[in-house]
Amino acid sequence: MRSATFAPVLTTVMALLAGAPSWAGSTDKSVTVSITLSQPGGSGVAPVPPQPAQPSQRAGVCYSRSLSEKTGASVQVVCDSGQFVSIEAVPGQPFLGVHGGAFRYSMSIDRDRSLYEAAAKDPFGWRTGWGTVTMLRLYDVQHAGGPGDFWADRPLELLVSF
Amino acid sequence: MKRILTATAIAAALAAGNAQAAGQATSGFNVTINLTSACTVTAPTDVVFAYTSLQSGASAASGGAFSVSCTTSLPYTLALQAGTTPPFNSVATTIPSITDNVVQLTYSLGLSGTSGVGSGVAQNFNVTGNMNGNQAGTCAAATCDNLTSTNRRQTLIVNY
Repeated sequence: MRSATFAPVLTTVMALLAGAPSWAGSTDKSVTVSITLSQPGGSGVAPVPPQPAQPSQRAGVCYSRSLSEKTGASVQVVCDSGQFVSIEAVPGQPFLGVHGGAFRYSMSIDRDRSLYEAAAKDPFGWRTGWGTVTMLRLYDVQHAGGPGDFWADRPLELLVSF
Repeated sequence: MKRILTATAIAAALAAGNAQAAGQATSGFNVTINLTSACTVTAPTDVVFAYTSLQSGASAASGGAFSVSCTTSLPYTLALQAGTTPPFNSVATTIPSITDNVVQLTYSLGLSGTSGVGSGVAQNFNVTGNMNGNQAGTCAAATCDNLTSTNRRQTLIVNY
């Protein structure tokens, strides 16, 4: 009777022992993971707009080339939502980093008609676009002081801040 | 006469020098060797990812090469463990998800092989890595690295 009582216990213990790792030893070494993360176009390569057919993973996020202080520098900004913006310095003026400075701004109207139409309603106001262009100011440099041609036909200057 | 005496003396001396064993006893003995099996592993080379923010495809890591040398016939298994904090008791052959705490990119690690039998010579393996696409990461400049990351070191374990 007693052995019958212990039999299940012994069986269980033996099963556990059989299932336990029985390593004679172990040795280890550390592994280092090195990651280099690059921004699209960050090394001077033109940014590639996302394919329109692909759903946006992070709508509203834009990436630009590194800015430089060279006169006449050109920066392209590609937004994950499909917007494409080209920013370049006003001729003869330095392209001063990311804050301030005078930039000429053009955007692909066909891809961003909603923003264009929003700006058209208030060309002198502040607008927040998609992506990294968080502040922009529109003004007419040739006819700023008075009426002239229809404003939408004139060149526009924008102050772009990031 | 003197010559004969001298020759006799030399012969006697030579005869006295020869071993003339009357018998022989032998005893066999055992040589006992206690061999402690062991494995050694080289430090893996860095597992290197080069990733462009929001790239559409996955990125496979390069590097991660290491070799294991074990006692001949000794079976062993390989395992990975996140971090470098003992005890190293993992038997997992993959680290399914680690997010680097500097560049905020998530990756997984695996092994080119997970077990072997020692042959007395180095056997080569790789720590493999994979980083899924469409990750933005965190980087305030054109390029960033994770040299200051505090979770960039993982542990490779050889159990034998």
